[in-house]
Formats: sequence, structure tokens, C-alpha cells
Amino acid sequence: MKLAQTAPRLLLFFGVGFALALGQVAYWQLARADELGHHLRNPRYWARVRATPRGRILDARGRELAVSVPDTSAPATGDALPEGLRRRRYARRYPAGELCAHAVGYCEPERGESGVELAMDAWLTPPARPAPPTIWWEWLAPQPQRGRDVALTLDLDLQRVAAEALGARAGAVVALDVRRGAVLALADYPRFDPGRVGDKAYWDALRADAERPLLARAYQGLYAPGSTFKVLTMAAALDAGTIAPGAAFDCDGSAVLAHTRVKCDVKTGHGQIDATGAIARSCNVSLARTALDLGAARFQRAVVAAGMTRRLDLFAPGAAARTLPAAGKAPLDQALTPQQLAACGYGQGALAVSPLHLAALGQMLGNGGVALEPYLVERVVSAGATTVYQRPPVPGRPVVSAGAARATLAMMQAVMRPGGTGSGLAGGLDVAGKTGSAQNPHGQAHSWFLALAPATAPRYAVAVVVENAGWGRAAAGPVAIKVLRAALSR
Amino acid sequence: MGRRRERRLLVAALGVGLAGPVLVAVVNGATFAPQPGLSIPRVAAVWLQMALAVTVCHAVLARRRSDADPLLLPLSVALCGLGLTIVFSLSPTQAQKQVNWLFAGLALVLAATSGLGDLTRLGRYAYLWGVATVVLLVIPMLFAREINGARLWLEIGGLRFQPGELAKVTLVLFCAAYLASARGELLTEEPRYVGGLALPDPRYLGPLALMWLLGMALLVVLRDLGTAALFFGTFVCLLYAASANSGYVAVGGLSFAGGAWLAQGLFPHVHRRLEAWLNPWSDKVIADAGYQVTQALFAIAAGGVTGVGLGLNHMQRVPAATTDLPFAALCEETGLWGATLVLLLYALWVQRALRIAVRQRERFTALLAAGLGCLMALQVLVIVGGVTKLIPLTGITLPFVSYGGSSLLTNCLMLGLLLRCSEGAQ
Repeated sequence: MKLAQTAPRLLLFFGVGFALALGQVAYWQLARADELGHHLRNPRYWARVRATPRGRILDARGRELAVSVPDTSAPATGDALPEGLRRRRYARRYPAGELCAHAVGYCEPERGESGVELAMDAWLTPPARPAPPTIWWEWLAPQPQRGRDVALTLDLDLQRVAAEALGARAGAVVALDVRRGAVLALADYPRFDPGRVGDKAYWDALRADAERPLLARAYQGLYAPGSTFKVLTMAAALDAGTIAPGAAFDCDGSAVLAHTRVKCDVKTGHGQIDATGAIARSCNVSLARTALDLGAARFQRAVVAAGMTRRLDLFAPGAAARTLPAAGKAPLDQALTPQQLAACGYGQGALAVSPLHLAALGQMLGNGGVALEPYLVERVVSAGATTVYQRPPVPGRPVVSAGAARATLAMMQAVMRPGGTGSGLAGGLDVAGKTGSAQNPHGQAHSWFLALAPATAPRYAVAVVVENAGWGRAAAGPVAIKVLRAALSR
Repeated sequence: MGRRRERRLLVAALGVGLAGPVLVAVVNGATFAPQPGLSIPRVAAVWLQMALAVTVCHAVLARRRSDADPLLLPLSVALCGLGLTIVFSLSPTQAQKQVNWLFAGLALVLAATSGLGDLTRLGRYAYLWGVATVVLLVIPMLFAREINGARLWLEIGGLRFQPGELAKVTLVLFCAAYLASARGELLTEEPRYVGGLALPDPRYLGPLALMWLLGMALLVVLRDLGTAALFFGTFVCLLYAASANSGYVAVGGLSFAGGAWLAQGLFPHVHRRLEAWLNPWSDKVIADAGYQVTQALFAIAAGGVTGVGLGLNHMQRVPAATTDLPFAALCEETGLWGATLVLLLYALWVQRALRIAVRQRERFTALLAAGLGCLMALQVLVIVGGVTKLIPLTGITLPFVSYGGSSLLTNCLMLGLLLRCSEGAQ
């Protein structure tokens, strides 16, 4: 009989098998736990959202934008747990409705998260461990912790003004505090109601909509900046000294520069104009010349320094596991050809930026050439009312000299005066602005407007884009002025 | 005295079966008020029934002054207790049914230990067991309704039964009887050495080929990779146990892998299983063939080292969780420590079986005990390996822990046969 010999070997064989299986268990539990824990298909992730009171999202004045309330509705049929296994549930409510959809985002089981809900998920979600007891007997019945409240820089009133001014036209409005970089309004259209995302029919309609209401145009939409970009070309050229504020240009309506024909919107040409006139009347020929004089390397350096090609840290740095804002696009990989440089000089070519990028550009010019990172999250407050995160004062990044910024701002004031492309728009308001109409392959030009107020010592910068709406002064201009007026009367 | 030791261990095992379900109930907000589903009186009633059945079983063994192995029954009861805990936290209404089956199962244990008399008599009917195995496997193919894409269940008077489960035991009986017979003894003679490798004599490869064919038939007709692997694996293990010839293991393993590879090329349902094993994460597979395994992995990963706590798993909505995925639920609730403990219990069970096998005087009972041990080990390996994505996941039950009458009865029959083998051999 050979069993005496083979039985220990069989036992060893099975033991190795069991050990392998246990090793595999340990692999999933230790090495892959974090990844699997956040998988969209993992019901635990959503059970946590349902079962725990998530923190609130508040506007700058403490008004609730998102809040978790006990859910008393009967669970959907497919959702019902077996008898005797029912647990407490919470539902997410958005008191501001559609208004802040793309800033606040949504948080819904089986749908996912977006906006602040996604970026600040780690703060909003209650800690897994129960609250530390303040007295010994609380060990016996540990209380679950509440999530932390996230206070935004957003001003609900200004947000409402921005959304109403934009109306039902596809586009976006971004308003920044020039001296802090804080985002005061972040409105766009089309948008959605984050409170209804759980509704399957509504969700499917959102996903199927060709207008893409789930796209946060304000910080994810990329558009050619058009003539609004001319202010950066001008500021960079003034900073580098390749152009003087009094420099004269001669515009015949079109010119052959670097072997390509550059055309102006005024067919007969702007005639003899200076640099101020070139900005005020948005002369493509003059700005193409300015860009060529500046040179590709310095132009590219200015574009990068102004943050136009970066993902802006809209949410608290380090808090966003999955960064949401889109990075701008500019031809940076190799030296620009003169043709490309000329086109980029007046905001066409391969450039694409989001409204947030452009507002940041305005903020930089208004702040004496020092760019401050735009941010949306002001502070995080724990359930015990202690501030666990406060946006620290961030040193700015100098992009152009204060003199160059001031000179460019003066040119933008000329835009709003008689003869400028924005004349008559300001309606008595002290505004510096720049119009833009961005050529694009999707039909009529996108209407752009970049504006700062008060012009002499700017406090607010607003960037507006209205898709396929033609001239900057026609569609985007009035929106920006309305928002600035409301901001100044805050 | 063995029975006294058994009594002490049974008290501990029944403690597991009481503490687990009570904690599950309390965590889920159960009170003393009787209510449908989960309440403390209901948990207590279920446990009392289990305790009664186990006590009767022990008392009968003690009264017969049986010297049967004192560890096997407590080990099995502890696993049943863990199983009840998991069933309570996944689907409380199934717990009462599970205990009903346990009654039947323990009755079977008593029948096997007291009613079989001389076990060696069973060894005379090798071909009867062989035919029974095939018949038990064929019946559901002819008469069964298709449930979850497989024809495994037979329904008689509202009771569902899986004849294939019982076929596992008749297979072990057949293999043990065949290998113990004169013909089988030839098979386990000295091997021929070809190039340093001990290869079985080609003349005796016939049974191996026959079993291989049976395995492949199971794979294709029953759409059940797990059962096929289980049957073939048990046969190869026993062949090795009897012959000490590792050539059988090599030839058997390679031929099965080759057959499975061929089958996945020829049959789409086998191919889908394989695909779901290799990459269950893709958007298409995760909602379909890869759903069960990914949900199991989510559960295991959520457990961590210490687990999320009894009664707090999130697998209630996963179909067939109580039958196929209790190990994943256990990993979630009790973590790495719980998984280690459960696997140690099984390892100890297998060790006892092989120990009993070594101490047998009769060739047939020795092979029978070894076969039952191998069958237990392979069942655990196939389902635990499947749930942890070590091998493709198939719907095999976790012995004593999974919900399911056929499986519990079969495992109790195995326990009873082993206890009978161990009597008089200590």
C-alpha cells in the first residue's frame, strides 16, 4: 500500500493550493483594495454615499448648494434589500437647482460624480471610522461622523445674474476676483438639474443630447479665443519691448505676412493706426505684425506663463484625485512657423482655451501682470465647526511687467470708447474690455468678450463666450457688462 | 476518550453558530420582537434546531461507544455555523431551510455511521457505482429544467435536488472500489520509466481516457467547468494516491488543460467563461459573464485584513451569492483573518481524512477515505480559487458553508462515510 507515502504529499499539495488561494485573497485585500473600492461598478461606493450624511456644499455667503437629507422614499424595486436588512439612507439635494450644475456637480449612485462633488469627494465623504468619543461610554455606541462642509468662493446672486444674462444660449460666463483669483461666478448653458440625475429617463436624455449639457463649458469647453487673445500678444510685446505704446501701423484691410494673407474684418482697412487703435479696433494685420516682431519663442513663453496651456487648479490643490478642468491647446511642441505665429497673434490658428483660461488672462492683466491661480474652494469645515482647510494666500506668478499690463489695460479702455469695437456697451460703467469673434468649423463665429472693472483699478474680470453668435459686442458683450454691474454693486 | 473531546469541541463549534447569526441580527437592527426576516427569537430558534440535531448526532455516537474521529464532526459543525452566519447576513429567509437540510444531513451521518455495517461490502460493487455516477449525471440532462443557463436541478414535489452533487460520492466509491480490485491493482503496479519519467503503462491508460471523456462530456453538456475539473481531479488524485506515480498527475493535468482549451475554442459558453476570467473588467464583460467574479472581488477587497464586521457585507443584491459566493461575503465581513481561519478548518478536515486513510487495513476503505479527503480539498480549491480569480469561477458550492440542500446532504454523507471508516481504525 502506497498511501503512507502519498498521503503526506497530497496534503502538502492541497496545503500549497490553500496557501495560494489565501495569497490571492491577501493580494486583493491589500494591493488592489483602493482601486476596487472606487470602481464605478462597486455597489459599496454608492452604498456609502447612500448610507452616510455627506457634507454640505456652500456658497461664499453660507447658502446651501448641496445637502444630504434622510431619504424617506421607498427604495426602487431592484434596489430593495431582503426583509430585515434595511438601513438608513440619505439622498442628495441641490437647493440651487440647475444654477450651479457644473460648478457643484452631481453625486448620484450608479451615475458617478462631477464638479466639486467629485473633486472634493474625499472631504465630503464622512470618515470611515466613527467619531472619537469625548467621554468613555461613547465607545459603547460609536456615532458615525458627518462629512465635512465645503465652502466655495461662488456668489449665488452673481451666479444667478450671470446665468440669466446668458439665457438659453449655448456658452459660458466666468467671473473672477482680480485680487484673489477667486471664482465668483461659473455659469454655462446648456446645463442640467443635478437633483434629477438619478432619474433614468432624464439621465439618458442628458447623455444623448447633441448639445452636451453634461459638458462644463466654463472650464471644460475649449474654443479658439479669437481677438480677445490679442491682449496677451500686445502685453507680451510691450513687456519684451518689441513694440512701444505709440507704435504706428498701416492697415489696408489685408496684408501678405510670412507668405500668407492676413485679413482684417474691416475690408477697407483701418488705415494709419497706433497700437492703442490696433487693440481698440481689433486690427488683425497689426497684431500679426506685433506677434512676428515678438518672435515665436517669446510668444510661446508668454502663452505658457499666462497658464493658457495648463489644467488650472480650479479645485483645492491635492484634493482632486481626478482633475477636471481642461488644459488649453497651443502649438508649443516645436518652433512656430511664421504663418502660425501670425495667426496665433490675433487668436486664431491652433489655439483653444476655455472661458476660465480667458478670465484668468483678464485677471492677470488687471492684477499688474501677476497671475493668481483661479480657485473655487475657499475652505473646508469639519462637523465640529473647525476649519480643516483654508485656501492659503498663494504667491502670484508674474507673467508680464506691471507697466505692460497697465498699458494693455489702457488700450482695453479704448475698446469701450467711441471708435472702439465695444463702444456704447459699457453704459456709463468704468470698464476695460476686448471683443472677439472666433472663427470655427461649426458655423458662425463664437462671440467672445473679456472685460474688467473698474478699469483704473480692476476688481473683477469676466470672460463670456456665446457659441455661434457672431460678433463679440453683439452677444457676449452685454452679458459681461451685466455681470460686472452686478459684481460692482455687491 | 474521543467522544468527550468531541463534546468539548462541539460546544465551541455551536458557539460559533450562535454568536455569528446573533451578531448579524443585532448589527442589522433586529430586536426581540418577532418579525419576518431577521429577529433574535428567529435566530435563536434556528440555532436551537441546529444544536438539537448536533446533540442527537453526538449522543448516538457516544451511546454506541464509537471511537470515530472526534475532530471531523466539530469541524463540520463549525463550518455550518459560519455558513448560517453568512446566510443570515445575505438572505435571512433561507436560514430556516438550511437548518431543515442540516437535519436531513445529520440523519444521513447517523445512517452512514450506524447503518452501513461492514464498509468493505461497498467495495464489491465497483461497476454499480460507476453506472450510478453516470446515471446521476445523465438524469438532469434529460429531465431537468434549465436554471441560470445550466441543467443541473431536478424538481420533485417542490424540492429541488441536484443529482450531480450525489454523483461526487458515487464517483469516489467507484474509483476506490476499482483501484482496490485486482484489475485496479495492476494499474498501480511499478511504472515504466521512459527517459527518466515514470509513465503509466499504455495498456492501463484506458480508465484514464474514459474519465477524461466523462470530464469533457460534463464540460460540454452541463456547461460546467467546475464540476468537470472536480470529477477529473478527484480521479487523478486517487490514482496518484494508490500508485504514487506522479506521471498520472502530469498526463491527467495536461490532457485536461488541453481538453479545456479545445472546448473553449469550440463552444462559446466555455469561451465566455474563460474570457470573463482573463479580463472581467471590460465594460461589456463586467455587466455580463464577469459580473459575479468582479462583485466577489469587490467584496474581498472591501474586507481588508480585519473585515468590515459581521452582517455588514454588500452582496445581498448579487445573484446566487449564498450558494456560489459565500467565501467572498466571508472575506468581506471577517477579512483576511476570517479567510485564513476558514481555510485552516478545511485543511484540518482534509488532514483528518488522509490520516484516517493511512490507518486503514483494507485497501478499499483506505482509498475511500483518501478520495473523500481529496474531494473535499478540491471542492474548496475550485470555488475559493474561482472567487479569488486564481482560476475561472464556476458555480461550485463551498462545502458546509454554502446554502443548498443537495450540497449539504452530499457533504454530510461524505462526513458520515469518513466517520464510519475511522471507527475501529484509531
